[in-house]
Amino acid sequence: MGETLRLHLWQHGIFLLILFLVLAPLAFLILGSFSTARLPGDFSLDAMGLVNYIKVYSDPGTFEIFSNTVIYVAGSTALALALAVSLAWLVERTNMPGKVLVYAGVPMTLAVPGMLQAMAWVLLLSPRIGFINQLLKDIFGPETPIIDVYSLGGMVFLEGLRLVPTAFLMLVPLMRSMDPTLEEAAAVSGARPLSTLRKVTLRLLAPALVAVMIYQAMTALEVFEIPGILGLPAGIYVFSTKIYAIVRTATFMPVYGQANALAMVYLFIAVATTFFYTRMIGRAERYAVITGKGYRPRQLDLGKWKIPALGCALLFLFLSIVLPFLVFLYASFLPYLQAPSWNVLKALTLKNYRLLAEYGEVGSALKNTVLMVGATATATVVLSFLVSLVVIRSKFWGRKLLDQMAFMPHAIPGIVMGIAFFWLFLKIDFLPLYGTIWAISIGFTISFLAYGTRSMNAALLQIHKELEEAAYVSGAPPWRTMWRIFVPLMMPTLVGVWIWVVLHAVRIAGMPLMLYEGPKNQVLAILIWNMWDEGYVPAVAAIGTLLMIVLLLLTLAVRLLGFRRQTMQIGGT
Amino acid sequence: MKHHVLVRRAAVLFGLLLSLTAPQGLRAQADHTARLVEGAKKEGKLVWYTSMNITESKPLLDDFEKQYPFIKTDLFRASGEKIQNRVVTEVRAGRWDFDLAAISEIGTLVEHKAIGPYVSPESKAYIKELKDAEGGYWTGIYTNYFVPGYNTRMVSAAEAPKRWEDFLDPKWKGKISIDQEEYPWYVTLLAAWGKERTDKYMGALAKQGIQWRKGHTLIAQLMGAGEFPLAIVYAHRVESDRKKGAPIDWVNTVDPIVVSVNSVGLSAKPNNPNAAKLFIDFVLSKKSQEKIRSYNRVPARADVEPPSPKMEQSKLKLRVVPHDTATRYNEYVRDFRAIFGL
Repeated sequence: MGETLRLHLWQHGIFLLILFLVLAPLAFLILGSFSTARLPGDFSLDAMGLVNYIKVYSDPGTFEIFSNTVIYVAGSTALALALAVSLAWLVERTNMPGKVLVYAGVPMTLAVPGMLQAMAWVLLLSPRIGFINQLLKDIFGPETPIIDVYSLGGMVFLEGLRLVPTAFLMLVPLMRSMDPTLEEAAAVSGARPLSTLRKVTLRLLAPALVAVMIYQAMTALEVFEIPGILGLPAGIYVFSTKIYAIVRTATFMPVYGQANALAMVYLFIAVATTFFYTRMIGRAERYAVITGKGYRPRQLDLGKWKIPALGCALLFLFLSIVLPFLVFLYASFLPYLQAPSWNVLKALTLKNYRLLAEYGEVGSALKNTVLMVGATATATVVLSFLVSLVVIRSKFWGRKLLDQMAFMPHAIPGIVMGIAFFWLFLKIDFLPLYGTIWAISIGFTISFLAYGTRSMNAALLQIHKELEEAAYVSGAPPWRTMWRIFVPLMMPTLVGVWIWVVLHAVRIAGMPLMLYEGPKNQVLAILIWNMWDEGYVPAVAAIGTLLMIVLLLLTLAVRLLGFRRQTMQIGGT
Repeated sequence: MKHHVLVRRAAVLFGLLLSLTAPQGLRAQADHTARLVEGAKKEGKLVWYTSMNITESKPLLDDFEKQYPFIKTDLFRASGEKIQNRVVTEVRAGRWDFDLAAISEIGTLVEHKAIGPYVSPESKAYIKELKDAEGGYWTGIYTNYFVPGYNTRMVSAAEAPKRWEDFLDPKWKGKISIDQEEYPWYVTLLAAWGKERTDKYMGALAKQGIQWRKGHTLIAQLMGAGEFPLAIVYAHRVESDRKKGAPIDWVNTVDPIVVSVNSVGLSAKPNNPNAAKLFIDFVLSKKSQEKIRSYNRVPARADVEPPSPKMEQSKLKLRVVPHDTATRYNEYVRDFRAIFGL
């Protein structure tokens, strides 16, 4: 019985920790939405009311943006999911050649700031200066209908491309550890590859797909870079740009209350979707594919479809990585922004790279970044793993609530989250966190928890209970079960989440910008953000180019080390 | 009774001011600096919040550290709006981390009592529009001119708009880009032209199919690349890209040229008052102002020439963005967004 008690203590511990971590920004969001005080700091229970809600939701503009937002979010999520599932399936479940290109290429865009990528597409597809449009006109004559990136279609396309890497990283480990017996059974019964994919593979993956979908739809709903750069010139507003506009409307003292009131829609969606998701995974055993039986994942023979499949994968890589990368590379050598021509070649310069080396404070920024990113990624992986273990594997009374809480930070817009933490660390000054990289690290860990737990939940669902039951019967204590069963089996997911967090922590600066202070905790993200804020495209392009190259090397290295080991483990059982 | 004290104080102050002038003045300044150096040696630290680009603020700070190696400097660089929020929030919470702030929105910080007065001896070299001549709370470091800019491959110099009204010509429909947060420009025109004229102008401009973008640097670059032929730009930004060969130029004949002033102010409760004052003296000095010119910025100091003769303070119809209370400002912002349907 002592065992059970300890088990419960442990679960309560996780529950309370998450409650504490999530409650602070959440309370800030909810209370702030009712607060009528100008500054977050002036918050008082006396100055509360529905003013913000009335103001925001009585604005006819709010409903005008509604249909845009639905099209944009649904479109980009659907596109991303279709692409990610196809790519993950091709590399994990088929014998398509050239897989390494996909593994290494897809995550590359993760480290590139959305603004930069949007700029690349402006340079490619703007109706006036877009390179592709110019080319089309040169070839087919000036009357050729042009592709306008400043449109809802352009936004869906680009955000769709941007959502692929995250979905891909979530799906790959799940596809990898799937017992192929069922697929083989389908194949034996004469099902064709596509219908096997539809009727077997996708159904088994349903909880994961739903998790990815919910997560990505939230991301699309929240991100304002793409709608900001591509939607604004065309007068197309969506929810996120509206929130951004409200926060920025009063440059002299933003009205956070109204932004919070609008952001409550996010929270509502998050709660509703996670509720649905929790009900779905209630019958978890149906989805377990990793059982005690030994198996070797076998790959489907694509036959004559091998080359066309590779062609499609390469087309995706070309659109989402090669093309923008070429634009960055080109822009990074420019003295000033201009469309490509022969004259440009003579004026190319290395100045932008020298600028980075000179002003980057590269030394301290690099050390801080490595520290911050390492701590964040490790904390996120450990915490998400423990949370998911409770959510999926225990009968703990608060597991559903715990799952909700872990997802909620993703529903809080980064800008609101940043201010919440800024205020929190300012208030709890008995802890020397304010203005340190640890403040950034804590903030990041909480906001990445949503991604971490979505991935881990899905991965844990795949592991059949018989494995831990076997361990339990043989008398292994819970921590040992965790260490010997779950950790090795979930290694691809753990590694995947770790990398994902690293990539995001390097790139996103909205929050650290509020939290850092001075060069002593300068991180790369802030440097990038500062450069962007200064708005000099060639300089930002130089950063983008370098980041993509570093990332390519990193993913290649991880793939060579981490994933190969995993294949041996599963294959050798 | 009270009056007497005030008059006497004013007289003393006046006397002090007099004593600062000419030969005596030089010695007084040397004394002043020596005193600050002595104090700064004990402090050994300086925290500067600025909206100045990191590629510009950092070298300035490096120069300062070279001159006063016993002061270790800390730089926090973010947009003016972020700094303003951060300072106000920190100060409300009783946390006084910054010694100095340099942003265009310094008026708000003064309003929130985050900035204290300090009249640097160097500020004599600044015209009254570019410093707080009454309270001594801030002095300009550099200025940004909001002006019409154009792509020289798409628009000839003769054709380019000479007055703000020229933007209303039907031939420019759909061809003008403006920052979606061009509030300072709007507020200043209101102050210069009055409500009726400004409203009429903005109403007509709103029908011109404005190409909204975010960020003046971005707008200047896109204009150079040919995304649109006309825009409201920062003059120094255009000047700097033009020197590198970009096909862009700007117009200095509009009335008024809207000027935002990036100003430095001392914290009301500085941890390192002496180091901070030393830095203010340093950044306002002729040498630093010349360095700022080398960034193609327009230095605020009157006896330092701008990077281009076209920018000469005395020859242009400049109008500094008026400071207003936050409430009033929010109303302007709302009006601006309503006029343009943003």
